[in-house]
Amino acid sequence: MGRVTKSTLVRADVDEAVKVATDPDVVFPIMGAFGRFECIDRLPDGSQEWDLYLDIGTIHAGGRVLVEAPSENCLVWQSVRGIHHSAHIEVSPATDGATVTMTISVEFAGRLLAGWATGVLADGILARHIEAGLQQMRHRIEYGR
Amino acid sequence: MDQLGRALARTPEGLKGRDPEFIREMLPRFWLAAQVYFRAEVNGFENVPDEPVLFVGNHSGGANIPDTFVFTLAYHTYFTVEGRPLIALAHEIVVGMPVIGDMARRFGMVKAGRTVAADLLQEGANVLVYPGGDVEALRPWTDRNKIVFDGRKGFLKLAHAQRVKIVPVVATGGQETFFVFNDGRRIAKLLRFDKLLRVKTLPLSLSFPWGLLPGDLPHIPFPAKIRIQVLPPIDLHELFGDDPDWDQVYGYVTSVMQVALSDLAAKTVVPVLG
Repeated sequence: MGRVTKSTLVRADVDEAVKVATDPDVVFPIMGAFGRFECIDRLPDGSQEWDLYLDIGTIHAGGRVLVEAPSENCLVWQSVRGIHHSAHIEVSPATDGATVTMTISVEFAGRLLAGWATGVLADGILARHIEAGLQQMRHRIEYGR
Repeated sequence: MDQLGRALARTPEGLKGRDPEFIREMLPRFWLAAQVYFRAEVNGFENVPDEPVLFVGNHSGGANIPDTFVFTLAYHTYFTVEGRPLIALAHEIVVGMPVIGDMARRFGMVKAGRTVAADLLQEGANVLVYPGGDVEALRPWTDRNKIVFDGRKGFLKLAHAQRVKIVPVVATGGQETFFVFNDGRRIAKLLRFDKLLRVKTLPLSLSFPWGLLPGDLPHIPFPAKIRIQVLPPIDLHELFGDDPDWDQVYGYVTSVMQVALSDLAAKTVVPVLG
């Protein structure tokens, strides 16, 4: 199991940050880290199914996820097929604006050395993708482009 | 012997010192070395308008600045040596070094200065500047994918005053050619390096063949993969008018560059290897 958390300060009102960070229709296209994304279904309870993949070198890593119905300041999803993972993006107030925090937890197949090595590599890859996604989100919120 | 003699000769700075024939001669062998050793990838030159611009880059690699080397070579392969000349603003230590300093001047490097840069832009050259200077080139490993301009805004005022566009250039890999443990600003200030050598940081670094070293010396770089992305131009007059709030301009330009740098860094699967 690997777990990566990254945060960024957004110099904007919390409400502005929440509008962008918790709406999957807005946040997934902004976050270029998700090289491949598509809404598959919108369910009656407000949840949604999406196909979400990261571009890692020449491979795509991800699968179908269930995005929970919108909450006040959080966007949460978990995998239903493909790479087993869960993630959430949370917005909280900060002195100079808002803090957007993203966490992804991933289960890796493999044991001992292979499992450990996979985890170390994947943590670094995830961290860089999350950072890239957060920076794109921050810029969009702060400058609207 | 002829080449050695030319390399040892004192070369003037700026457009006078830039030697297109020397660049033409060196380009194939240096580019081959950059391709084999750094697996260099440079993209986005189609974003550069056909007018003098100020290239603004993030600075990496300590005393070696490998991504400047790669960018300069890539520029000349794209625009050719007869194209609009590229002049890079460098630290006085670089252009003052024997042999290397002369080679740098033949490639079009000058000692950094706002008046020099303004003159070059007026003469029609493209100018390359690294606002972060030594502070950024010696930033810690953990900040290797961060823009660290240290609040310096002179490049913005230069571009605005000269009415030229800024073309941001972001690069990854340069800071993986050696290892920097800390930022070392307090030690540099304590030893008065900031006043005596215009060096504002003295971090602890690990490089080959020196091993652990306070600061950095020219070293053999780790063969890290270098990726460079040239971004679309930013017209400061169009975006911020004739009397801009410099903090706002600085925030915007560094934000654009940080987004692109983080995006480029996300292409890395394994640090150093690429």
